[in-house]
Amino acid sequence: MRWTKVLTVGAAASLGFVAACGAPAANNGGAGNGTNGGNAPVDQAGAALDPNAKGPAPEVPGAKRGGILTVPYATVPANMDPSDQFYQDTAVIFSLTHRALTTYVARDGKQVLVPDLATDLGKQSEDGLTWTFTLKDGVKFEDGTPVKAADIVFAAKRSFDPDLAANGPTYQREFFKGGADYQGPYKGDKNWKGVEATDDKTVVFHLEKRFETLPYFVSFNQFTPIPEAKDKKADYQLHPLATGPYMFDKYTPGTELVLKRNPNWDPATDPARNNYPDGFHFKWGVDTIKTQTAILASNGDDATSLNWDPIDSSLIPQIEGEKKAQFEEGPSSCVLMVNMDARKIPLPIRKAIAVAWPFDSIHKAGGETTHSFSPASTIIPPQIAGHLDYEAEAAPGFKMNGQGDGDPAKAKEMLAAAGFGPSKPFELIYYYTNDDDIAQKVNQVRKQKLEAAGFKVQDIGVPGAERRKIVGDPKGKYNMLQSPRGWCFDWPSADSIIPPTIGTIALSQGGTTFGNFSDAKIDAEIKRIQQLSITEQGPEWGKMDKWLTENYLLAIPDNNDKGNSVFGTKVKNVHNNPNKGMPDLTDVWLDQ
Amino acid sequence: MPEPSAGTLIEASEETASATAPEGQDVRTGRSPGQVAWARLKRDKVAIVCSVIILFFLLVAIFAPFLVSLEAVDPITGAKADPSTVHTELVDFNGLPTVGASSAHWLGVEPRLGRDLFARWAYGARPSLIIGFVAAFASTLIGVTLGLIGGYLGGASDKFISWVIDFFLSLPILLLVLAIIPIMQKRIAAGNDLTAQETSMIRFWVLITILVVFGWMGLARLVRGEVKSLREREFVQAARAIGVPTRSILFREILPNLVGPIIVSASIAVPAYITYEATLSYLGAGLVEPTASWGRTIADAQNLFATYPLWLWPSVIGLSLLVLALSLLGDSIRDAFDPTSRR
Repeated sequence: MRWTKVLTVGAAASLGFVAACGAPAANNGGAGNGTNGGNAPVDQAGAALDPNAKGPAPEVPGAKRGGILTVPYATVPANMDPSDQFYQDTAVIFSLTHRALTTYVARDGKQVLVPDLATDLGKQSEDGLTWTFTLKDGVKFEDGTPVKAADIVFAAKRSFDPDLAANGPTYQREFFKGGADYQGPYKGDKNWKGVEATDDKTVVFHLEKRFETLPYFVSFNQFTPIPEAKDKKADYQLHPLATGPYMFDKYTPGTELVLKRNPNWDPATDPARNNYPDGFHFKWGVDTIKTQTAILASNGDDATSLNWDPIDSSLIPQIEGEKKAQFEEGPSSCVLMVNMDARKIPLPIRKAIAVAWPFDSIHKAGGETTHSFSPASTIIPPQIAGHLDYEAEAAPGFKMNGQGDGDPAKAKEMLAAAGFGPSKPFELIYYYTNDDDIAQKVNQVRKQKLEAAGFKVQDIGVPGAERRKIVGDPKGKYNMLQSPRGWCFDWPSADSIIPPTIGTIALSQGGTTFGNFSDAKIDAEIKRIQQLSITEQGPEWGKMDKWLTENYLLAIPDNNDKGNSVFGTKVKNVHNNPNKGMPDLTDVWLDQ
Repeated sequence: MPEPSAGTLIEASEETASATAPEGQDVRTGRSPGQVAWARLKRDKVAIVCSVIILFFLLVAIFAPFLVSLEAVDPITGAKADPSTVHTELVDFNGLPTVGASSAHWLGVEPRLGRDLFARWAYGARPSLIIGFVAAFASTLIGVTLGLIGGYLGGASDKFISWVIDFFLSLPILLLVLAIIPIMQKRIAAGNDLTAQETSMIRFWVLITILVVFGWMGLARLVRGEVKSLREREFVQAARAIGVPTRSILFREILPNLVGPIIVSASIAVPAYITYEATLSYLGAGLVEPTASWGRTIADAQNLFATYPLWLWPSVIGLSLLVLALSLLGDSIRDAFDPTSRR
C-alpha cells in the first residue's frame, strides 16, 4: 500500500521520520540508554493460502453479542467510495461492510488468504494470462438483491475511472489487458474486455502479463461488487451497498460513520467475519492525546472505545504499567528506509552515510516511542514469507541494523579514504518540512549529527505539501531523502515491495525510487523472480534483498512501523493485523 | 493634556520640596511635564519593582552566553551546554530526559532532543525583547509622524491618513498575519532554497515588520486627535501669528505636550508585541528552529506538561513576569503623566 495510513495519519511519512524509536536489543557503535522494550518475534503475515476455507467463521471462545464499539481516531477519510480506497483505516472499515473476491483471516496469529465472495482463490490458465473466479451462491446486497458477477466486473472497471478512483491502486493498469489507458465505464468503453462476466457466477480477468499474486490483489475494495443500476457516481460514497455483516446507518462525510447490522448477510457464506457488536461508530479527526487518555481511563462510553493512532509518548508509563491490558501492538505493513540518490552519491559515500546515520537520535527527536517501530536491517519486513534475516556491513565490523547512533569517527575515516576531508567536504543536500514542528526538530538533530561525521549539510526547508512534490521529482536538486521514505506492502509478498520501489521499471513510471537508480543486473533479477510461482518467489526475493543491500546500498534499512491500539476495559479480543498494522475489528467483542 | 503651568501648580502643591531645587529658591518654576512625571514615578513602588524585573530580563538576554557558560561541564556528554547542540544521549528511547536539573543543566534538558533548557530559556529572552522594543520603537515613530502630519495639516492629507488608519484597523490582524508570514518568506527567498538558519532569520525580521505595519494605528489616531485640538490653542496660534516656521511649531510647541501619551503608548506596546511574538511562534507562524523562543517552547512543552512540567514552567513564568512587569510599568507611567490621578 502506498503511504496510506502513514501518509494520512501523520505528517510522518512526508516528513521523513514516521514510526518510532526502537527497541534495540543491542546497541551498535553508539551511546544508547533508556527503556528498551524487547521485541516479540514477529508473526509471519505469510503467503499462506487456503482455497478451501468455508463459512461460517469460527466462534471466538467466550465472545458475547451486543453493544456499540466506538472508534475515534485522528485522520479523516476523504470519502467512502469503495473504488477510491487505498488506505489502512478505510480498509478496516470496509472489512466490516464490504466483501471482495478474496480476503484474509487470522489463524494462530498468521494471516491466511481465503476465498470470500469466490468459491476458491481463482483458477489460472496454462499461460497464466487468464484468471477465472466463480461466485458463491446466496450472497446478497443489503437490499436483498443477489450479487452477480457483473457487479464485480462493473466495480473493477469503475476502479479505472480517473475521478472516482483517483486515489486507488494502479496494479490493474499495469497488469490487466488494455488497462494502461482505460478510463473506466463512464469515460471509456463500457464493454472493455479486460475483466468480463461470462455468466452470473463467473468473473474472468484477462492479463497483459503474468500476475502470480492476483488472488491477493482481488481482496482489495476495488473488487467489492457495485450494482451498475444503483451507482450514483460521486454520490455513491454516501451509501455504498454493503455485502458484509454491517451496513451504513448514518454517514456524515468528514465527521462520523455509524454502522448497523446487515440483515441480508449470511454467515454461512463468510469464512472470515464474525459480528459480535450491534454496531460501530467511527469518529474522525479527534485529538489523539485526549482520546487516548480518556480511553485508558475507561469511563462511560470510553470503556467501549478503541483508538488506533500511535500511542502518545506521555501515556507510555500507563500502558507499560497498570493499563497494559488495554494496549495492543504489532507490526504494520510499512518498512522505512533512509533513501539516497545513487546517481549522485557514490557507493563508498553511501556506506559512510550508513555508518554516520544517527538512528536513535532521530527517533528520539521525532517523538517516536519503543511502541511505534522496531529497527530493521532488511528491505523486506520480517512478517513476509521468504524474509531473509541478515545484517549487512557498511564497514568492517559495522553492521547496518537500524540501531545505535552512528560512528562519526569511522564515517570521517571512510570519507577521508574516498578523498573527502575538512577542506573538501562531501555535501549532502536534502529537503525537510519547515511548517511542522517535529520535522524541524528532527532536522536539527540530523544536520548536527551528519556534520559531526564530517559531511557538509545543505538542509532546504519547504512547506510539507511542496516537499512531497519536490522529493518525488527524479530531477530534483537533492542528493538524498527523496521519496519514497518507505513502502507499505499491498499484500504479504515481496513482489509488492521490491519491483515497485527499485529498478528501471519503477523509475520509468515518472516517480522517484530507492536510489533513483537503474542497472541491468537488478532488472534481470527482478524479471527472473517474477516469473516464478508464488511459493518459489519468497526465498528468492529474500536473497535479492541481501544482495541489493550488500552490493548497491540504494537505501539504508531503518525501521519497520508498528501498529498500536488503545481500547477501553470492555473491549475484548483485539488483535493487530500484520498486513495493515491495524486491529481486526471482525473478531472484537464487547463485555457489557 | 494640560498646559505646562497647570501641571506644575498641581505638582507643586503636592511636593513641598524638590531634591533638585537649592534651598530657599522657589520650587514652582521650570518643571516640565516630563520632570514632574519622573519625580512621581520615582516614588511609585510598583514602578520601581517592575523596572527591576525588566532590567533583570534585559541583563539575562544581554549576558545569556556568559550565564550559560556558568553551568558545569556535563559528565555524560563531556561538553558545556549551549542552546542549539542536541544531546540525544541525555534522553531515553521514549524521549524523556534521563537527567534532571543539575549543576550542568540548571533547568534540566529538553525532552526528545536533550538541549539545555536553561540555555534555551536565557537565549529565548532575546527575540522576545528585541522584537518587543524594536517594533514598539518603529511603530511609535510611524504613528507619531503620521498623527502629527494628519492632525496639523488637516484637509486632504488628514482625510487620506485617517482613511489609511481606518483601513488598517479594519483588517483581521491575526488571520492576516498567519497568511502573510509564509508569503513574505517566499518573496524574500525569491525562489531560492532556504536553510533552517536563513528561514529563522527571515522570520525574525518579517515578524518585526508585520508587528510595525499593524501596530502604529492606535497611536497615530491618538496623536492626530491631540494635535487637532492643540492646533487651535492660543500658544500655537500665537506662534503661528509671529511667523514661527511649521517645523518649529510641530517640534517645539506641540510635540512636547504629547510626550506623555506617546511614552504611555510605547510602554504598553512593548508587552503587547512580546505577547504577539510568543502567540505567533506558538501558532507556528513565528520563529522557527533553531532559534530559541519562549512561545515555541511553550507550544512544544504543553503536551508533556503532566510528565515533565519543568519544560513548560520557565518559559511561562518568564513570559508572564516580563509582560506583567512591562504592563504595570506602562500603567505607572500613564498615571505619572496623568495630572488628575492622585496617589
